[in-house]
Parts: sequence; structure tokens; C-alpha cells
Amino acid sequence: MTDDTALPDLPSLPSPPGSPSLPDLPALPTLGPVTRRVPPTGARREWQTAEVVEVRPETSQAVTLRLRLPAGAERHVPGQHYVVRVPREDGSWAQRSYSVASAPEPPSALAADGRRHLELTVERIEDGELSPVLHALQVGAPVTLRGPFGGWFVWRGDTPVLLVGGGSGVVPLMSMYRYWRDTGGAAPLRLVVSVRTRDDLYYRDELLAGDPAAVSVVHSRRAPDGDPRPPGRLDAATLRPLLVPDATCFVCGSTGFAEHASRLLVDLGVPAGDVRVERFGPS
Amino acid sequence: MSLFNPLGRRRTRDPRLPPGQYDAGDGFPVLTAEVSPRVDLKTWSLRVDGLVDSARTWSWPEIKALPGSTYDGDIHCVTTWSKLGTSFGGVSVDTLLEQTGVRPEATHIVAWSVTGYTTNLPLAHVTGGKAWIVWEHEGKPLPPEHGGPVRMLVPHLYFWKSAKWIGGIRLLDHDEPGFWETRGYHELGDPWTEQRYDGD
Repeated sequence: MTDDTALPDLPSLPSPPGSPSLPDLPALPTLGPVTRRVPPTGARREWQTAEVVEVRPETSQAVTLRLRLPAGAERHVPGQHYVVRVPREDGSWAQRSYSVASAPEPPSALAADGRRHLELTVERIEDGELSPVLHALQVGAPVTLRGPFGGWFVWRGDTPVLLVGGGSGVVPLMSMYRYWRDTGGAAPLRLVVSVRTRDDLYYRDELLAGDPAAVSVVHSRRAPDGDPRPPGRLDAATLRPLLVPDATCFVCGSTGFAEHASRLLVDLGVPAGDVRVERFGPS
Repeated sequence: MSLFNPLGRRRTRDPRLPPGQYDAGDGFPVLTAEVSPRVDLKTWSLRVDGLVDSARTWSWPEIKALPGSTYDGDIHCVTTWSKLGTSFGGVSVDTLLEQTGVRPEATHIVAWSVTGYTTNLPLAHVTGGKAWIVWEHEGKPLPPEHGGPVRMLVPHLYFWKSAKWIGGIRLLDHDEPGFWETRGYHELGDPWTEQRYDGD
């Protein structure tokens, strides 16, 4: 495992031997080359115990848990997720995936003891098994998790990107945005977040303080006073001027949002192969 | 930490639920990595090639005309939801392979989607009544976000093996890891032994 100073140095896999298949047949279709085998060693990622070191409300429905990872934890790539589990009364475990919201820490930012931290933002699902438990956690509580996972909805900071998030779908995009911002923002990046109202915006102060050329917030139900855009669903007219040439587009949100936003992009001329989708929600 | 829900969450676990899964009830969550394509059945076809005696392609009317087969049972997604007691209608993969024949050296398949998605499976996991090409879910046409109009169904494995928007199946004499299998997910994906990620 490489603990590197810059993400683009993370070990990439060479593309697989081009779908050798059978010599006399046309190559199978592909969604693109493999960017990263996770984990690079192929070893199982075991359950680990982290500790809650900070609890921060984002909206009335979402909290961010800042976790201190055990020694030796791997650095994540923006867009990756962890699986969190809690015990059930019947002795089984309930587990769900949560995207990392924080940027991967450079070695220079690690605590003196070398321990990593990361942040998960958890939306409260009223009849959910995990989120009410996670919302009740206080500083000092243990959290059982394994990860990081994900080798598709990940960005290493070195290519143009358009990030389109709906509601809680902003979480993995926030890791990408924060990483980009904290490392000097070399690659073209634009982040578009669609929320019902301003009160539903995660990371509100941080996003509103961002460069308006990079961060756009779209309100579907009620726009704040003075917002030139009337409230309404994300539409082509809003998205067209925000397109980033040659970008990989990362779309994350509910199924309805993800279908809608990814279709808008394709209808605006973005090749479907340049759109990566992750669907959030009570799944 | 108590998770008992007095409003009726089961305290006894449904034996149909593999470890780490929960019952999604009437829900049918959607998980895909790419843009849902608009598949036109007028031009869609299913191709079976590779290590078969005679490769062939079925049009939509041709595949509908094959003897039908249904699956009644459960499905399990690696993201931890399971859908219990559901049903799909289509044609058994066995029926297709009877028509193409299977060469003795064939050991694995790659199922591919019109989007470019691929997933690999041992041949033994898609023969003998274990896999289908389906276009109906609970008696209705399969909607696009669930892989409609036509998808693969391999219900005994995690659902990423059930390629949506299926375009074809290629029989191989070797294992060729697919989209998720080269991106951190398990080679086989047996829900009963929780083969979720690489190394599980």
C-alpha cells in the first residue's frame, strides 16, 4: 500500500489486456479503462473501529460525523465510500454505505500520532436501520466500519470534471471539491448542487463562500431572496452554461434526480460514456 | 444499542435474508453506474457468441417467441437490500444455449450491456435453471431504470451480476473480470457468504 503525498501518484492499474476474449471476435463493449483496483493488494478490508471526534449538524436532517480512524488506515480517493454497521437485536448486523465527505488528508495534515480522520455525512431516514443510530452518536462513541471502497465514482484530481449533486448526493462530490480546492485547483472543476430550499443545502457556509465560478446552487422549491433563478427543477438552460469541456461528469442523487440530471447532460451533447452516476437514498 | 422497532420490525430474522441484508419490502432501489440508455426494441437484439457451436442473434420478436420461463423468489443487492418474493418473466439462458450449443472448452461467460457494462460469471452459474433473460417484473414490462426493456437475471448472486440492458453473452475458456469485478467488487458475489468486495 502506498501512502503518497498526492493522489495522482496513487498506484493506477494498467488497463486490463483489452478484453482479449477470443481472437476472431470483435472486442466486447466497455465503459472505459480501469482507473484503480480497490484495494490495490486484493486483500479483504476488515471491519475496524473508529471514534467519533466531532458531530456537526448540516441541516435539520443531516449530520456530519468526524471520525478518527485506527492506526494504519488507508487514504481514500475522493468519491469513495465506507460501509458502516451496527448490531441488530437478533444478533445480525445492519450495514449501509456512506460516502466520505472530507478530502483525503495529505500526510502533512495528519495528527502527530499519524492517525487519519475522515467525515461521513448521514441523512436521517425516519424508518432507517442505521441513520437514527448514527444520528444519536456523541463524541467518543465507537463506529464499526470498513473501507474505503469504490473504483468508478472516484476522481483523482487530474482531469476536468463537472460535479452534479442533488440533495444528499453532494456528499461524495464534496470530497472531490474539497480536495480540488485544498490542492490548488489545477484541473477545471465545476460543482452544481440542487436542493429544495437553502435550508436543505449541506456544507452551506463552505459552499456559499466558494468561488462562484466553480460552485452553483440551484433551488427547486424555494429560492432565497435575490436569487436571479426562479425555483425549479434543474434544467438544460441552467446546466448548459455550466458545462466543462472534455469533462467527466459525476452525477449523484436520488434515482429520480440521477436519471433526470444524467439525461439532461446527454441531451446537451455530453457523451454518455463521460457520465458516471451514483444513486443515493434509502437503499 | 437497541434497534428494536416497536412498530413492527421483525425480531426474528427472515430466513430468506442472507447475512448483512435487509428486507426492502415493496421497494426496488436502483443501482447503476452509468446513464440509463433508451433501448429501442425495434433495433435491439441479443447476441450469444464465443465458444458455442453456432453463434446467433435474436431479435425482440424472435426472443419473445421462445418458450417462456419465470423466476419467483428473492433478489439481493450488494448495497444490502434484498427484495423477497418477487417475480420476473422471460426466457431461460438454458434455452438460448440449447440453440447455440456449447463447446466443451467453455468455462465462463461475460454478459454485456448496450452501455458497455460487463460482468463475468462461471458458466455453471448461468446454466441448469439459474439464469434468465427477462423483460417482465411482477407481470409488467421491466422499466428502464431497472434494466428494461430486457436484462439478465442471475438471482442467486448479488444483483450486479444481473446485467441491465443486456446486449449479449459471450462464452469463454477463461475468466475475464467485468466492470465492477475490476473495480473492487468480488469475482463471484455469493450473498450467502457475503462475497461483496475483493478479498471477501
